[in-house]
Amino acid sequence: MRIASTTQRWGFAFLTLFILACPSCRKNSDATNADSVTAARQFVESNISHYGTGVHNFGTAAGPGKPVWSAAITKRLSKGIVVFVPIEYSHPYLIGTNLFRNQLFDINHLQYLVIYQHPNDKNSQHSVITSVITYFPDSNNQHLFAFTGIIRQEDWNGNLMATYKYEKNGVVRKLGSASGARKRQASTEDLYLLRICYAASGYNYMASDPENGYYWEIDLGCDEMFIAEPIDGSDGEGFNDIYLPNWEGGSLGGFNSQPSFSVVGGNNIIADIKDYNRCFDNIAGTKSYTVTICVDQPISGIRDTWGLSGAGSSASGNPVSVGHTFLVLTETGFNGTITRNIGFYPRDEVSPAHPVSQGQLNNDANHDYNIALSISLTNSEFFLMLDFINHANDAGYNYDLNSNNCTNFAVNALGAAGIVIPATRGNWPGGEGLNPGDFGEDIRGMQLSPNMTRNSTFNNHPNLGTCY
Amino acid sequence: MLMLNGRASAQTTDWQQTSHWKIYKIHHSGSLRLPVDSLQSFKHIGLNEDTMHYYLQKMIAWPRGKTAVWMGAFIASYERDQHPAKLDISVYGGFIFDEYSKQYFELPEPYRAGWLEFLNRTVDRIETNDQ
Repeated sequence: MRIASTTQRWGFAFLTLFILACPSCRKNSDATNADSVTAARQFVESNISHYGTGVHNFGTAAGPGKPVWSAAITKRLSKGIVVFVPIEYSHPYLIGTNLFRNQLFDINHLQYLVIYQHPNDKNSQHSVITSVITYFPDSNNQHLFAFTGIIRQEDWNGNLMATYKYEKNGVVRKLGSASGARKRQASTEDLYLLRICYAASGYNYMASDPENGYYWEIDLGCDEMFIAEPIDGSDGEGFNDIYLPNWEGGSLGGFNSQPSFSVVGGNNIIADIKDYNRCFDNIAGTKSYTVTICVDQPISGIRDTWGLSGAGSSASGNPVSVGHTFLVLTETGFNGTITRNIGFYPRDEVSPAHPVSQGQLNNDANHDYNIALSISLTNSEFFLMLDFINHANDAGYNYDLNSNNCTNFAVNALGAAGIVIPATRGNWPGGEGLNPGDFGEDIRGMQLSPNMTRNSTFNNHPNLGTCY
Repeated sequence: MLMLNGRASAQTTDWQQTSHWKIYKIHHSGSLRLPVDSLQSFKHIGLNEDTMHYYLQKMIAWPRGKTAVWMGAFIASYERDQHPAKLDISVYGGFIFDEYSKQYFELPEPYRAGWLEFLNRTVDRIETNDQ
């Protein structure tokens, strides 16, 4: 997501209105609020280009975000009178962050158009700051009576201005960019700063068609622990007052948190395999790694290379199943478990008469299997295997029903890690090669090493774990 | 096994006449062989009918005789003229087999990712509903 603040020149009329609206000048606070909101609205509508089309901070699928002026409120903060206008999206959606695991928030409760006069420029320069502010609460919000989390500040066009992290001890820190690690020179050695990066993600969809949404993810900035400095607000543009319009009495209810649900997986076709696998960390000693080879035999428990499908006879063109072999990769460590399902397929249909097609990796989290072999790997073995897998979507890397099918892929992935398991070749009308029917029986009959376990009972194998 | 390949023809099935779409969670290697009247014993969930019609209208019928090998399938059912029917949906290649008409259809490549994501998400909800 983008963030920024726009500095706009006040028109004389607006300046006058804003000064008149100052609470110290007017006793009637309701009138003050109304005047400030009216003045802010007039300014925004006449000075922000593209205002009428709405803000698109979270992608066009969310629809344009429009300020709800009738719900605007004012607040006197260190910068003076600040007008908060809730922004509503035509297709609201939920947001999750790694600040607050398993909680989702409605975007229509988190975002505001904020207008205030530049604190150092009130009389002479007549400039106004207009910002789109988005609040990302963290888990401390369950226990505290002040906002904690991250606030992002953008202009109406979505350009980033600043990101601030509000902590439970009252400290406010300005976050750095998520791109690029910074390096500092110490007196005797180079120190890499500890960086903690934050991100938000969401699933945009229409209530009437929830399946046809899409995922997005944005950086919320990175915290550099050794250089954290309190914000003094001297830049005059930062929005560092701790105030949340719908934060009444510190109640979490102001954010309308939603029930948790898993957002892992989703795409069946893996368009970007490196991104799909990026949560795996190559850290020796602190994490354990496992690969499970899952085999869905055409006919469970026998070596048949293909099974006639359909309730009737083959004469009616009933489907012929050759089964499938796929991999489940798992990393377990101090920060939980990461699981990814990967299977190798042809992009288009294949048959013995037309056995070759561009290869394509799919998420097989919903695929059945009837026998599986799990192997514990070292981190080196695991990442050698991962490197092999990460090239299977390359253009020109073909699926071949006879010589590079899903079973070949699994066997070769293990081979890349130096692990050899038996695989019997079979034949079928019009072809021959490795196949799930034989491979399943090979696994069923093989002598297991201490780092292997065999399972002939289906268990759910969803993708698990996210990372930022 | 004779596999023929040929040019696709325009789809002829009026999918708009179908209703009561369901998708099933079947952990059984013989799911493609199951008759439609035995599906009710498996966990299932409704498929969004508008979404199904949207994708099915994009399907192109294969010439008779053209087939493909299956490497896994979603099993769905629907009703047409108040009669239940079964649809086998391949997990790759964007093709389906309609057991009612004994006809293969194929979804053009640009629609396949959304189609499979729609099916996967719906199947995931079967598990969620169990919890």
